Amino acid sequence: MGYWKEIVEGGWSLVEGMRVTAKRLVRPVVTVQYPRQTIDMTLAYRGHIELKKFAESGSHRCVACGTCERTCPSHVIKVQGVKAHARSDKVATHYWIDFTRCSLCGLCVEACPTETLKFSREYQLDGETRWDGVIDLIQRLEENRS
Amino acid sequence: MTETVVAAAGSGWLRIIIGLIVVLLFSQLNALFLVWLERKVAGHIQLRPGPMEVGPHGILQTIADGIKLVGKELITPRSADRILFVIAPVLVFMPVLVAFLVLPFDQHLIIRDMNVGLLLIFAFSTFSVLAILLGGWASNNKYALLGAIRSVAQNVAYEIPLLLSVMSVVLMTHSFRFSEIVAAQHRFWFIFLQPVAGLIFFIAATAETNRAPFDIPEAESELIAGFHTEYSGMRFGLFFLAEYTNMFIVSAVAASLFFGGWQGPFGFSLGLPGLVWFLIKVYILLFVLMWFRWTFPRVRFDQLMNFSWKVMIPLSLANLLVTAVVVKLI
Amino acid sequence: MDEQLLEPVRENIYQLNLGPQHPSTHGVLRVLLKLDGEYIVEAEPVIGYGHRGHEKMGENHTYLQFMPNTSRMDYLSGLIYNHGYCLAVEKMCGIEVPERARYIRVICAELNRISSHLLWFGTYVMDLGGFTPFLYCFDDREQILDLLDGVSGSRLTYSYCRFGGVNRDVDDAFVAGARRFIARLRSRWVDYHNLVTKNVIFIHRVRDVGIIDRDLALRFGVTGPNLRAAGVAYDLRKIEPYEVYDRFDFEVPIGGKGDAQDRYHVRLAEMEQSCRIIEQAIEALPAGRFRNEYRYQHVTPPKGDYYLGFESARGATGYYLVSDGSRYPYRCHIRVPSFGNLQVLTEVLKGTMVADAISILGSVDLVIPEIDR
Repeated sequence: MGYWKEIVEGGWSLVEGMRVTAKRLVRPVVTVQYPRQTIDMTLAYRGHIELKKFAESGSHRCVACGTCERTCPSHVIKVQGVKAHARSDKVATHYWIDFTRCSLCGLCVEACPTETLKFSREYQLDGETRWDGVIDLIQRLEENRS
Repeated sequence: MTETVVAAAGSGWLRIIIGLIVVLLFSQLNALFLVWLERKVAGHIQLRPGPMEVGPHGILQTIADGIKLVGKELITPRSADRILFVIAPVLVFMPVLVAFLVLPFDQHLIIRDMNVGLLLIFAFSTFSVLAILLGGWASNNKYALLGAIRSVAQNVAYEIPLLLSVMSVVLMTHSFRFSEIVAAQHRFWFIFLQPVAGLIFFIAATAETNRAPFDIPEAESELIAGFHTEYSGMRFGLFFLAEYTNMFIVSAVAASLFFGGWQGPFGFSLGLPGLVWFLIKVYILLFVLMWFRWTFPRVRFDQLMNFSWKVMIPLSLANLLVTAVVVKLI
Repeated sequence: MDEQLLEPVRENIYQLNLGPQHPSTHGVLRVLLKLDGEYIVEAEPVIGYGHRGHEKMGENHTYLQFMPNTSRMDYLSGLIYNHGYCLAVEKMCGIEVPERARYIRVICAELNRISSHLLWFGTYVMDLGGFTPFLYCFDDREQILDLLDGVSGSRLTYSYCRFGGVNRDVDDAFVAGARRFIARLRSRWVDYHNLVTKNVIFIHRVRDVGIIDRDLALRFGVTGPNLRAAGVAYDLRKIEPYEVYDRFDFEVPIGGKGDAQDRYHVRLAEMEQSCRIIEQAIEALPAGRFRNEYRYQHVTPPKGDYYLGFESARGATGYYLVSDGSRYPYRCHIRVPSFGNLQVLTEVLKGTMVADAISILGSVDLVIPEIDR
């Protein structure tokens, strides 16, 4: 008796499974056709870092203190600054990141004392050499790409 | 219309040659279409669109893939048995073509209506397992060998219920000739008279063509790619095309034996030509095969054997016995 | 290794390298199988192909800088690893965590656990040859990733927890999304059961396959769902409650025999229990700060050695940190569950078939980079 029961019940379980897939067959697809359709990144999205532009000064506030440099676990950041004259504040003149080594942890953003760092929301980053991963943030800021 | 075409083609050698050319073209185009269809069915079952880029809804995708395969280097492993390695993919495709000679596409659209048509198909379909064994053995790869071993055992186990279920149909029609078998289903398709045989035939045919859930010879999550692990380029492509053409053949045989071939249901043709009826049935069966594949997990090797020897063979034998008694009494 | 390869092999016995590149070893695991036909005579897992030196990196980074590494060991439950690491450092330094942050952490960690189990469910059925449930699971898992992406900004390696809180606060949209997800997941079970659990082929592939019984599991240090499937209700969330897990009402699902089917059922039941925890945590989510006022950058824990155990999706995990009073840990060791879960395979795989080996390997839910670290 068990023999027949198993055949019938087993067969029925297969039919049940086929019902599930058949139901899905006629449903609309859930995937996004990527290059043709894109999804907006969430507000929290962490791309590479970027210098914020402040309205009052029209520029960033980076004082080239190097906290981000020291906080970064992967030595991604290189920042240089100059003092215009002996009494003035230091201002960053060069800010490079090597994005190929970045693990997007966001520690630098939190460490920044002047809060001049933010995450970019750019995600279509590609390049042909590893040097394409080196991004000049000052230049991006000047070109208003950030 | 078809009758005039067939009559014009005459009989004898000319008919065979024309038939072969048509078959070659049809089998290739059909296989390409089936690969596309499989990917589309898989895609939509899995809530994604499948190929979309090459041509409208990706219809030309398989042609692009085929061109890519032709352009690929044919790699022969250093330790492989060269001759057998090269022969195997050719051997797997040859019997597939022969089978087309006796398939009844329409009442008169049979290249060669032999009185042993049914036997011919099953005799030649066994060839493909030989090719798989050769391919797996000659690759000199353990995964390929395991796949080949599994394939042989599986085919031996499933030929028996396959043929036994076919036998009960033959007992009812007293003929191996396809045209007569189909003509006998003028009013009732044999699936209504022989449901058990029909089901067993279809399950065994799934195993015979190495389709999921019986795809253990090429079980990709266990044996990488099974018997064709070492094949590349168009040699792999031939195995691939042969699989789909085999699917077409078993579906066509199933349609002819159990679903009335070129005839409409219960003798109503609804104005559609026989060829259309036949193709509709075949493609529905092919769709079911694909549906199986994208629904079920894979059975294990020994369970497959158990299922064949403990369930399918006793059932088909019992069915054959009952059929024989009933046919004798009527 | 080499000696083994050279030793004369018995007749009819041949070796098969399952991996390091194989579709079903999920990462770079190599299992050296000695086969008699399709039956396994001996199996030896070989690990280390994905060694990246995380523990050594821990000793060369400050406590905070090691944080991004933690989610890269077990990339499927990265947030749980982050969470455990923060707990460990907070324990070392005696950092107080705001209530709200503790609830947020629990919600996110449980979401992460569900996503890990969903991925396991999908890949396991795929190992058994059923491709479709894999994509259904991904569809569901994608909802979790979207939720966690919305709060942490990352989809896989979250780096979300911080010493003394979390990176970002959660908003109402997240809470509503989590509720919606739980409702959605619960509505999916019936389809999953019809498609997989009740499927006769699936049942035959998992029933009585790869039995890890109580004794064997305890002997090899198997933890997590694999141990619970053997009938031992050992869950660190229950036994040594960390964070705020003691405030929630949830059960520890256990199995009986410890075969692959039990492991399957235990994981499915665990997803449901995680849903319950999330519901309760959302209900009780207090207002307040999500992070301490003071942002801990370079902590210097007092001298001594510390261990903190927590339950990741794969079992009992722990950070063992030795502090010499400097900004860098003197020693950083991680106890990973997959190691114990993998070693037991030498015993379990004996006498099974190759197809079963795949089923067993899948059923214990290994993440190889976690073992190799």
